[in-house]
Amino acid sequence: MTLPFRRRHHDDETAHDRARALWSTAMLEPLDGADWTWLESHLAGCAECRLEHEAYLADRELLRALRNTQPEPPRDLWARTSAAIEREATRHARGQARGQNGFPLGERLVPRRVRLPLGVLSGALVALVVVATSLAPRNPSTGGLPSAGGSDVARISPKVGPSPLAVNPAPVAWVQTGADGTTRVITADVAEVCPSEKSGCAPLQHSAGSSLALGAAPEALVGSPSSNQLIVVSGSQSSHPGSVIVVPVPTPAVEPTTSPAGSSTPTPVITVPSSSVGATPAGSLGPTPVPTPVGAHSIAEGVAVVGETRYSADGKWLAFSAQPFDGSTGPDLYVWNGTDPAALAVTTDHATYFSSWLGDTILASRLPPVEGQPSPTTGPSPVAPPTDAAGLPTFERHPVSFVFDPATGASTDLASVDVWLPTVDPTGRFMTYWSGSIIAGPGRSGLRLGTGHLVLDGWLAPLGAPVASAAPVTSAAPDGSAAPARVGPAGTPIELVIGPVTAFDTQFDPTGTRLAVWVADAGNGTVGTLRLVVLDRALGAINDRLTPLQSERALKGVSMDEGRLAWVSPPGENGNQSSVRVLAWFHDDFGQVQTLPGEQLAIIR
Amino acid sequence: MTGTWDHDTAGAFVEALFAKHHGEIYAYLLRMLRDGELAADLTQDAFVKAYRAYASLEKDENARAWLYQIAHRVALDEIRRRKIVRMVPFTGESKGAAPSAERIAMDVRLSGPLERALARIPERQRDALLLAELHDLTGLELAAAMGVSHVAARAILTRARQSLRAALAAEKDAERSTEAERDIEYAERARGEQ
Repeated sequence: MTLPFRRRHHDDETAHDRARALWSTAMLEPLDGADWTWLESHLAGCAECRLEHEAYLADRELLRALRNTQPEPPRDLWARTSAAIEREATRHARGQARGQNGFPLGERLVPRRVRLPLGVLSGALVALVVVATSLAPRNPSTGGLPSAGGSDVARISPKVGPSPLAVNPAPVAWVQTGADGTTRVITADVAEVCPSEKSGCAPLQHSAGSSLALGAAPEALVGSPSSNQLIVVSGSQSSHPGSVIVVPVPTPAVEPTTSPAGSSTPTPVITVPSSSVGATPAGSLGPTPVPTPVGAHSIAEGVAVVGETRYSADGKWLAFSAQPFDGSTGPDLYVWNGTDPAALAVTTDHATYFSSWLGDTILASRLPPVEGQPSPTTGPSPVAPPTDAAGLPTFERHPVSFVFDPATGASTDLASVDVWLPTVDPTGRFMTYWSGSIIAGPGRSGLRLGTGHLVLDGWLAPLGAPVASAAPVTSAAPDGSAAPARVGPAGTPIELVIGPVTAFDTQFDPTGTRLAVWVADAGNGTVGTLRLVVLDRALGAINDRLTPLQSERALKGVSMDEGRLAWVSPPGENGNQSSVRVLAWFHDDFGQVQTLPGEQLAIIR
Repeated sequence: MTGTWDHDTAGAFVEALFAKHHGEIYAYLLRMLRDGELAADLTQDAFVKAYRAYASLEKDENARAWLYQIAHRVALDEIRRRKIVRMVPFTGESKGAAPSAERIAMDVRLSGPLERALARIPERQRDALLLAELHDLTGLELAAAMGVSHVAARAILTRARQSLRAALAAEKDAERSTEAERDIEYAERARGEQ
């Protein structure tokens, strides 16, 4: 018979490949009759294959000879293992005695952190977190908190029950505003979560944490890493001028809180008087000591804080962007060194936006002026600007981001333009940013994302590398003579969000392997969708195999920390109240817990 | 065996499981990770995880494969963690390509060409070979332990055998060239003595 086409060379290869696959399988398990017959026939007609097959059999025998050298495990292995199991059982029993399903932690299963007594935690934790508070709608009529100073116990209910996952993430904290206007800070330690793919297990009561009372509802709380100060940001989102107030954190021995188990936990109480807000004329920034019993004082007054307020990792610096409350100019970058009476403006272009800390340097973005646009300092331009749908003037601008060292004043622009609000993971491997333009309109809130994408990229400069340019907030010399080392995106961006983005927040965990991506709903900047992205550092890419949180409804202001992501679910969705939700993980095992539903919740970080 | 369970039952079960299988689990983890102390720690982890996950074991007769599945995940987690530590720059430039002192020490401890060849093949393939040939897992058990389909497990194993073949050949070549160098050295020394 003549074939209608020439026999291709790789037909042989395909047959040989099939033979290899079959004899490999035959070493594992019996082949079916047809396969066996084909293999025998193939081997009979292929001397080379027979040799290769024999070589494979010889390799196998060589491999199996390793069985003769069975390694001896340590003699105390069972003692260690049984002790670890015993501890698990004991902890579980304790959890049950407290009315919780506190699944125990294994010996080496307990990751790095050492658990602290709740009393210590209640005081220290508050100083370690930032409260993102503009999120929760305030409705005093529905607040459900007891009076200020009373004890609170965080009740965390795992979603599912049969196979809880023991975890030991960073503690979680949040605020709840009561009917009397008192804001209460609640902390909780999460010991177990339930695998997210399971559902329907009975809610479990888990008591943890204690409370801290605040006398006023702030928009943000930033705790210093040294645990001795609390930064209270207020007024940025309201019609009244805002402030940034420093409040000393008292020693946690002021007020006892009784836990369900009967133990007494000291609960520090901080009162932030509402009279401290707006004490100076709009537009001014300066020290305004507030005579309060807790010794609070203002480091910025009459302002609107723009974006996040964050401490550096070493706790020596605080950074934020702020603009005069009347919107007469755009924002500048402010830093506070913890000892000066007021925060210091380190830019004067009125167009700089704080983004994040990168080691002990700051990542910030600015909007260079464009032709035809009025400068904040020179007044209106005669050129008619483009307008938006409402007829308001708009300008598409191309942001520049830079690294700023608050200790030296040195600044280096990132090599790429159209990089907006970059965030670099704490290990200096990945970065996220808005890759595109910004549309600038009039007024205090006239900024929006233009054409572009929210992306994940590589970060070029090593973490902590010295920045090259000494000129504050300026680009490299045009002739390249004093060009700084190239820093910024590595040029292989991955789009994080498909579709339009109006506002976003991205946060890496301390290991740089987990990335929280929150994207605001169109038309509502306080509610959005949250996703957790697992990063493969070896490949420099997203690990698509692990999708522990793909699209969760969440209020703005999520909190990412070691071993967990926390957020508040929006109220009113599916007829439910808000709850604080936590996704925690140990290695690649993920699970969730949530509080009982409540009102006026805002996550702390 | 789903739903509620008491810790005494789980404890007794894991104790029996440990008595029967701890040696092979330790050997498996040692061959995967080539670090005795670490293998012991991870063996402990695997049994504690088994205790915690007791409710997920559906049939007692599957306990061995289920235990290997847990050990496999523990091993991969550790390997992944090591990779994180040994990350390369995003730009693809390979910095720090020199082997660590720990790695050199481990390699020196590998006695024969087979173990060196095993160390050269991809972890996943080495895993499949060890589980199938040294720990006698069936095709279905191998698939369950590796968290892949039966077909995929067989395919991985086939690639593993090919990789091992190539790695052994490379080891033999290296041995031959070492011997040749040694022969030359002896010959030169002999000439010098004459």
